[in-house]
Amino acid sequence: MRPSRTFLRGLWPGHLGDEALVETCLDGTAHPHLDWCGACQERLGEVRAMLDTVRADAVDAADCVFTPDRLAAQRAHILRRLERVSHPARVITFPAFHRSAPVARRVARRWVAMAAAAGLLIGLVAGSVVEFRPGRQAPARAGSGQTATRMADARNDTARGPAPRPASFNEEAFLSDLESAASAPSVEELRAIDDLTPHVREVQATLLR
Amino acid sequence: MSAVAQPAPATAAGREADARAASAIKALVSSARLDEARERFAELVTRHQRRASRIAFHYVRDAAEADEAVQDAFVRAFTHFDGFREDLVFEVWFTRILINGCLDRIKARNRRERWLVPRPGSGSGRLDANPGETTASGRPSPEDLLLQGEQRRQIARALGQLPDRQRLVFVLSQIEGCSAREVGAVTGLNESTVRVHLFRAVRKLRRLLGHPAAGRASRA
Repeated sequence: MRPSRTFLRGLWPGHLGDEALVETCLDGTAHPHLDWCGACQERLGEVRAMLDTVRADAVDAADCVFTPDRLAAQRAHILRRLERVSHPARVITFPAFHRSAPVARRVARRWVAMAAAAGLLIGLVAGSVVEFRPGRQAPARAGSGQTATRMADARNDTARGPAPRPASFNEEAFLSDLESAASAPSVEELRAIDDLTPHVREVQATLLR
Repeated sequence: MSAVAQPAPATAAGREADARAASAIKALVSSARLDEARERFAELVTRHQRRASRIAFHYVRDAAEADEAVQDAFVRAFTHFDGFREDLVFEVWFTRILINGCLDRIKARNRRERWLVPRPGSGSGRLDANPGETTASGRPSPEDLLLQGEQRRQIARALGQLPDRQRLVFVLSQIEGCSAREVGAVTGLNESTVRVHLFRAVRKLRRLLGHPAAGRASRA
């Protein structure tokens, strides 16, 4: 059963305050005072109209600025930025820093290098001292030194002409030595082969004829 | 009374779709499948872009800054998606990021304006600038256009005179249709504080717009 207007007027003798009016408007709840007070109903209507106007206008103003084209451009821009986030620029380290060795290893490597350099230096000095000692002939050197010696010899040979045979060399003696060696006691199994092989003397006689 | 309907709050279906997309994106991000995550995130961008632009536009009151704020908010949301709690509503979480970004921009702008003398005509992108620049042409008559423009300018100016927090609460509640609880979640205020801000905003708007009923009532 609804309360009578007289009863309600007794409860709220004046009008609704702004706060109650706005709350009613915002919440959408019906205040009992509004059931009988025409003035407050009119005020409520005005507040509602004002809010509707502001709302419509605000939406309109934003939509005029953010047109579909602008929103599409904005969306594309957002997606481009997101792509950059997903695929960040490749960073190339330059110059490339190698991992440095521990201090102890670096020191050891330095000592090895120093020892090698010192050894080379001592070797060079010692070699030069031995090479240029007065009254001593340089020994035949291996490698490039030997090659150089051979080339020098060849140059000398060319300058001198063909080498003369030593005077003591007797060709006849040499051949008879070979024959005596061949006729010496030998393995019986090889005698048949020996018989088949022509002897030096026979070959020489044939050639002389 | 105007026939403009109250903006519909985000539907349950829309929120469910958001929740599904958000949990999928979170899973993709945590498994480092960023390309797929980005594709799913594009859906959320499409769904929330217009609303975000509107909020940012009314909060920072500058089109270019609002545009940048929206972009930053989406990028920040994507890069911090691993921090998204699935028990939260994506819309609320994202709006909070957006609001924080807008607040930073407003503070930075206030610092700048403290030192710089504004150039004449530099506010063409501002909300309270001449609406003839932003209103599409093709209206019925020049008189209507003029009146409409004048009214819009008046409302924009009134909204601009609200303190930042009141304006934010008003925009979220009355323009975006958020409930007091949602506004509280977005702004970090409790519900009763939200209501106080909203009430003060409406009262001030009525006064600024020269509403005949403003301040006329006596206490009930």
